[in-house]
Amino acid sequence: MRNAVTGPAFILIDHVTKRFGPIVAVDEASFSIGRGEFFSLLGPSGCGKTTLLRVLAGFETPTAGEIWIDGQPMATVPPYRRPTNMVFQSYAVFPHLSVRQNVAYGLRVERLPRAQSERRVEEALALVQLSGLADRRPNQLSGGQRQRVALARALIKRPKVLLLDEPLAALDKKLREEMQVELRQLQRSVGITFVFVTHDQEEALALSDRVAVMFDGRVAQIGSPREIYDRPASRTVGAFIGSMNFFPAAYRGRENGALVVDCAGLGKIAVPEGNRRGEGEPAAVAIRPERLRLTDRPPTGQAAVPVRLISSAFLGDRSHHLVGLEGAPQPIMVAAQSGEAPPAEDRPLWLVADPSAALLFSDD
Amino acid sequence: MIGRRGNPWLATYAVAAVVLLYAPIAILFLFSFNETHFMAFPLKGLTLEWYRRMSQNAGLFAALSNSLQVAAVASVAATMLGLLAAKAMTRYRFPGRAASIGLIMAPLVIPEIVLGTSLLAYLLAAGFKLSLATVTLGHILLCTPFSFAVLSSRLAGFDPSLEEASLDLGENRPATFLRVTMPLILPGIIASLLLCFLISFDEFLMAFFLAGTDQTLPVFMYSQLRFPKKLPEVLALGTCVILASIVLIVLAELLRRRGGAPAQQ
Ligand SMILES: Nc1ncnc2c1ncn2[C@@H]1O[C@H](COP(=O)(O)OP(=O)(O)O)[C@@H](O)[C@H]1O
Ligand SMILES: [Mg+2]
Repeated sequence: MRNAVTGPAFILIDHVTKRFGPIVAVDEASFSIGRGEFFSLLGPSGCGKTTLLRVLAGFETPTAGEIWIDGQPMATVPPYRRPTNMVFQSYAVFPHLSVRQNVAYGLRVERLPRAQSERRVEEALALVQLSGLADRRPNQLSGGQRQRVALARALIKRPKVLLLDEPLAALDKKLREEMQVELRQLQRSVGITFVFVTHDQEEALALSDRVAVMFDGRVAQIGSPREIYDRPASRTVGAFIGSMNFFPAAYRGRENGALVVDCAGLGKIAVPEGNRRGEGEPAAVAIRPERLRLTDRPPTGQAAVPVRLISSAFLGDRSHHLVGLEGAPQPIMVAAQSGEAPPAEDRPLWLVADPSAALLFSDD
Repeated sequence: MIGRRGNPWLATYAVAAVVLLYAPIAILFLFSFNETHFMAFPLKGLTLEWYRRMSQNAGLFAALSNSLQVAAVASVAATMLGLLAAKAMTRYRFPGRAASIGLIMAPLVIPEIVLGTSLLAYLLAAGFKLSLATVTLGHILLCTPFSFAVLSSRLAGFDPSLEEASLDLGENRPATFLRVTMPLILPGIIASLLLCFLISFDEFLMAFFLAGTDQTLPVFMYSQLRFPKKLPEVLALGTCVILASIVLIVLAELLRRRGGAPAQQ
């Protein structure tokens, strides 16, 4: 994956808070985004992603804090003078204009010579592969095509920042995956900074250089997709990104640079110091399903505990097995490659957990 | 419908209803060309005499001009009020919203005779002199609910992010209104203007109660009925009014359809 040019902040979000009456939609958000970065805001519905994006676009005035883009303070800049353009969640394609007129809409204020503006429109249409549909009306387009119109209409303005509010959420799965690839390629070819809002963690991981995970208006973690997945900053982030098994645990002390915990179901295990997340005393052990393994032969030389199979789900490229573990409050999910033989239902099973793949969380 | 055998009585009933509803209009049309002023079959012969006389009737043209003025002012005023109300009611949710809508729509259900008399009593008590202006006020009251209904249905589907998209693409608020908002609601505005114009133009009760010495066309026509010899002239005038109304209504409906839905999200 390409590394974004970081260095001096291109977009600076400085202690931004947005309240709607008693609701705190964005709570003290403070971070920066690099030039040319594909940056995602990820979080469950209602966590304030759209609000933060609208603050960047200038549709909402922050209750407190400031936005800087490319060294310029945005506080007094109205939406129509900002170096940002937006792809709306509803696409907001103008229904009374043709595809071509929609795409050309923002060029009027740029007062270009006619030939030049026509060339820009053709380029923008070609960029999103809509050249053949230029004279259609929006009501003659599919959802995916309307989305491309919205994209071309914003990109033709050559913004410094493109803001995208869940642009793929309304598409069906197949089209969504195609558009993900296209969006990523598009972003690389135009080199514009993308701020991309989504509630779909797979999408955020697949597309982004960096992701900000938000809960209840607050930014919980910012990092590369790999950092967010492998080293979630808190229990909430770990639970939100991918699947995670949590075991209640009690801290027992330090031993050879590892932290020893008494883990419900797994017993005493020693977890490397570096796997500890947060400051407080460890209270939970977390392991991803793909870091667990099931076996029907009692393994030697490895920590293993007997479990019983509750259910299995075949997902094509992998399978998910739910197993019950004595002492653990919830069933444990184990992911297996689809090449592996399925566990036999009537034979005793053991769960093998690698303590070096476990994370320690304090209560948050 | 086609190919399905319905109840034959239902068909008879439907035909009878249509005939009963429209026969008076057909008769009006027929007798406006009849050579005598007695309304009786058989027709004596065809003539355009009544139309000629009508076109020379000064009182009629004064009344027509009054009616056009009242209808023009009332339809513009009612459409502006209806637009403001519809924009508020579709865009915002606030306490008392349902009650406000009820108040705006009330003139539709209050008997016009009650509205007319109470308005008359009120205006006189408040010291107004009856004139075309008071008629216009009454008509604005009657027309606003229609305008509100037409424009709310137009604005209900209006996605506010369309206006934001325009701002985002570099157009300021006035330009956004001209390039996005206006084109999308224009068919609704025109439909409302036409509808209000027609309602005001043929309204009788308010115009009868609230007018001073100036008559509107319906009141003038009513007054002419006292003279039997004038009857065919009134019929000719009625025919003209009906034809003009049909043209306007068809126009309004065509515009409403051509506009389609304001947004198809
Ligand atoms: N215009 C508004 N008025 C009042 N509350 C709002 C408004 N916009 C958003 N909110 C509230 O702010 C919170 C965050 O909303 P939003 O930014 O849309 O979340 P997300 O896009 O992450 O789903 C929600 O609780 C929402 O109800
Ligand atoms: Mg949102």
